[in-house]
Amino acid sequence: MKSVRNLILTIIFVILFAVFLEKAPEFLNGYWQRILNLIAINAILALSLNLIYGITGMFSLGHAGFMAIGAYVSALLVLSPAQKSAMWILEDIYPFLLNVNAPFVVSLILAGLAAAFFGLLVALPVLRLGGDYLGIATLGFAEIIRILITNMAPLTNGSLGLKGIPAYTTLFMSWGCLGIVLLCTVCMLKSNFGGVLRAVRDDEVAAKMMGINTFKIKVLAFTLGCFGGGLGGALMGNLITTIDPKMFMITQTYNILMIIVVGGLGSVTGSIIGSFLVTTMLEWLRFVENPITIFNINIPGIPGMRMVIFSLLLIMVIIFRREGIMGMREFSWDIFFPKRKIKDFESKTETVLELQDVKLKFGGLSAIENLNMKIRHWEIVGLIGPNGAGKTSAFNVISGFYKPTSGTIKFLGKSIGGLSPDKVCQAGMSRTFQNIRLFGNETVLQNVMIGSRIRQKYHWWMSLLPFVFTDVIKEDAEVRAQAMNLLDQLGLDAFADEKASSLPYGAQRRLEIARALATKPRFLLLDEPAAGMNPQESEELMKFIRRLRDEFDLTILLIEHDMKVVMNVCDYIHVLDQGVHIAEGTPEEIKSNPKVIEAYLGAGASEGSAA
Amino acid sequence: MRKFTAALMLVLMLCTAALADDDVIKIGVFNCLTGQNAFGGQLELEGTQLAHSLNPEILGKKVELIIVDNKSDKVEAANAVTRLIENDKVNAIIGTYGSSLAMAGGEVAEKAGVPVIGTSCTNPLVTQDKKFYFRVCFIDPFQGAGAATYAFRNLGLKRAATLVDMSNDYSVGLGKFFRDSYKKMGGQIVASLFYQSGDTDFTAQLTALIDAKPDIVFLPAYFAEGAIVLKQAKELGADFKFIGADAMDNPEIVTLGGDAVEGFMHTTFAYDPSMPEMNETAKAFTEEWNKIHPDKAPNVNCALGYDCYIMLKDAIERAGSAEPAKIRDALETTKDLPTVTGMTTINATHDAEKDMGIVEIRGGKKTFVGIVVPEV
Repeated sequence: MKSVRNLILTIIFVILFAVFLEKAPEFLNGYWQRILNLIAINAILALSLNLIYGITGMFSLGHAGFMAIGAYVSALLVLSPAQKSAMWILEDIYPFLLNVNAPFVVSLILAGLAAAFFGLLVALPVLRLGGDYLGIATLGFAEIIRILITNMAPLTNGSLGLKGIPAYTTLFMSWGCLGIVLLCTVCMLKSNFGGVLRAVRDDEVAAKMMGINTFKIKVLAFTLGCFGGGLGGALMGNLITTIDPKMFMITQTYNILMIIVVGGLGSVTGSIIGSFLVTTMLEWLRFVENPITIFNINIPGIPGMRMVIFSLLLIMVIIFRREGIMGMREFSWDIFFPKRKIKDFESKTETVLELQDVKLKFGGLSAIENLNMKIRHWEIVGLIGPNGAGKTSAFNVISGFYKPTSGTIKFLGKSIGGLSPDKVCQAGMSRTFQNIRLFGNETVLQNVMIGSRIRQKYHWWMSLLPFVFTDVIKEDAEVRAQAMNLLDQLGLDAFADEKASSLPYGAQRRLEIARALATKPRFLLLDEPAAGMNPQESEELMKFIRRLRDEFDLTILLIEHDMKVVMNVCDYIHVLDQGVHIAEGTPEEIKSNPKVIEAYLGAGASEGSAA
Repeated sequence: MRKFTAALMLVLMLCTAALADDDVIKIGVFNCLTGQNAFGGQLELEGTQLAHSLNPEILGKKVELIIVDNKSDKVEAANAVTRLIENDKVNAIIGTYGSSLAMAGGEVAEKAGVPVIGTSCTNPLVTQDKKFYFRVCFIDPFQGAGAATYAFRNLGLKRAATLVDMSNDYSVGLGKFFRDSYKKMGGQIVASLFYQSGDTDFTAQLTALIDAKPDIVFLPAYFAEGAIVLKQAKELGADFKFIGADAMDNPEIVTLGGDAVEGFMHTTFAYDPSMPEMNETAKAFTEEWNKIHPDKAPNVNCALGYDCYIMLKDAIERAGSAEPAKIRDALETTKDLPTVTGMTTINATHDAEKDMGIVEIRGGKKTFVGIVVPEV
């Protein structure tokens, strides 16, 4: 409902804005129309650089170069042959170029594609570098482009530049392009792909470990950003109506960089706000350079004064809002409406997980036979059995790693049998592994944040309907804060910046749980949480598991060999033996169940204490 | 903070309100007051301001100068001209240093139908196909030919080379037109070398030049880089002469180049404070300039800024009106107008036709050598 409401609001806003643009010439003079055009173009440029730098985390200083490519491609396509032949006064224009012509919209697309093509060429070798090296390499690229344009006079008219480009960039054109770019960017960022982009920015190593081809993702994001750069450059050329290589110096890149830093790195909303502020402020501040008379005191105009004031304002923004105006947050209509609380579970006795006749076979080998299980909300349930009893197989079936051969698995009333792990995770289930699987090279905080990324895998088709699924992006903005909060609750906050591998063993276990919790599960699967712990650590763990259940409103299913832990912490226990579900009941019932004693406790009492 | 902003807004509104006056002729000035071209733009503005203070009224109406900075930036230049036309409703505009900036501003003025007089934008493209853009300066082909004519005819030098800033439209244009003209007269171009703005080491180019053994090297550089080239040439023991163009006409060149600039020549507009015979306008200008700026000698930029205003004043008076369209028509018929930089006539392409001067540095001082008539 909320998403439908937001969609309607968005459509209303777009219509109102279109009406505003339509009527703008009636009440805005040419000057303000020009500023409006510039805002849109700057926003396109900022969005595209933000995609590269703010969102995917590649520090690129080459945007001016891609703008130049776009501007020249578009200009050469829309200029008439007569204009071209008059302009090349130093060297003759290439004959083929003289008669090349295309409509403006086609030229815009080709400008974007040309920039994207060069972006791809740069990306393939250069993106193997990272961080500062990438910045230097792209900076060099932009300079090379500028020098090429200067020197390829038969193609570009060299340093004389081009003039008389038809002023095709109207308000509808520039804002229309921004609208499309914005729509695509927002859709993409909300989609699965957007989550991956951010994961690459936040932690490339961990992202790789989660099966993401980070190089490919980076090349793709870089190329897409370059498309935006070329488009913006082309629009700019058709607004100013004249271009030359000096227009695309590094200062041009700095300008865009300034917009995205002020607006907030990684925030689409921030880029829009930033371009609005930077564009209008520079023009609005012109009055400080005029002579002003205040109470008969004449203050002569000082050229450059507005730049001083503008710089001061920038510094203030950075001091008071280090992450920019928006940080990583995004605009949502929700801010105008009071938050509705997510509905609580209707009753504490609701069934969270239900397994009916679940079978798992590997070829002829039967790992699990007819497993029936019902786990109610708030319960802590143990799953025990001797080695090879099929406990971990059961975990893998529940969490989606294996597809059950037959039978149904219902989670929160919905069937999840056969769903992939990420879908199961999205449904609200999370797990830890028998052997700790932390990203050892990453900090504790980063580990938890990566855990949240998994939560961001959405159906691709959702991204086709922007603003409908706002709930998705909201979570994303708060990931860092939530991760910190989680660490705080689990008593790991002091280690936030430590390497995960440097933590004591017990803390690593808790961290793995914290990471699982970051996906906001309703149901947690713990695979041998007490493995390798000394008695004191096991004691702490028992308290910890109960506290988890209480504080996070969880239902927990755990596999454990340490009988002390199982009997003390579990409300209910299921017993497996060689894939067969042989018993279930309260700890007391299990302790006195002859089948269990025979199959498990009796035969392998030593095993229980050894674990 | 919010109160402060509100107060600022109020002041701003009062200021704008005070300006709304029908009996005022508004002349907009857009020039590079900050950014990389600020050195030239500032001087031109000071020239314009001087002319304004000496002629505060035209047709009995008060003239108001509205000055906007274009930051040596194309986007800002277009913004600045739009602002002058749309917000300040100026009758005519003066500016700017830098041809690419003039082109950006020119498109806006052309559409709005407001006449502009360019100060020192010498790229031929600036006024090409423009009804409303004029300029008080001559253009690159004319000046390139002038330097060639002086080198070949007056100095009798038969072997020339060019050293050109590849990234500068002005430099590239001049170099090309120098070579064309020099070859047409029968001279030989022995080398054609390039550098990029911002270079500081010219040893490679200079060594190549020394090998090519020219009699003279045409160096259409800006004064800062030009001075470095001259210094390094002296250090390398180059024995050929250098000739530059009007961008070398800056009082700073002697300070920067020291004794290395001795004997350096450049073409320029027919004005220099060292001129023996000045016309009345130039005399008045030099006198008044020295009164206001006793420690700074005027150069051609100051003179061109001044001349724009004089040319505009003449056009408004002949038109008998400050209506933009009428000013434009009158500007088009400007003929033999006495200006600081000689007699100015506007030709069919809206460029000024005027004498070209030659300046040589002698004894650490700029010395006006004479007038040259370019063979285009």
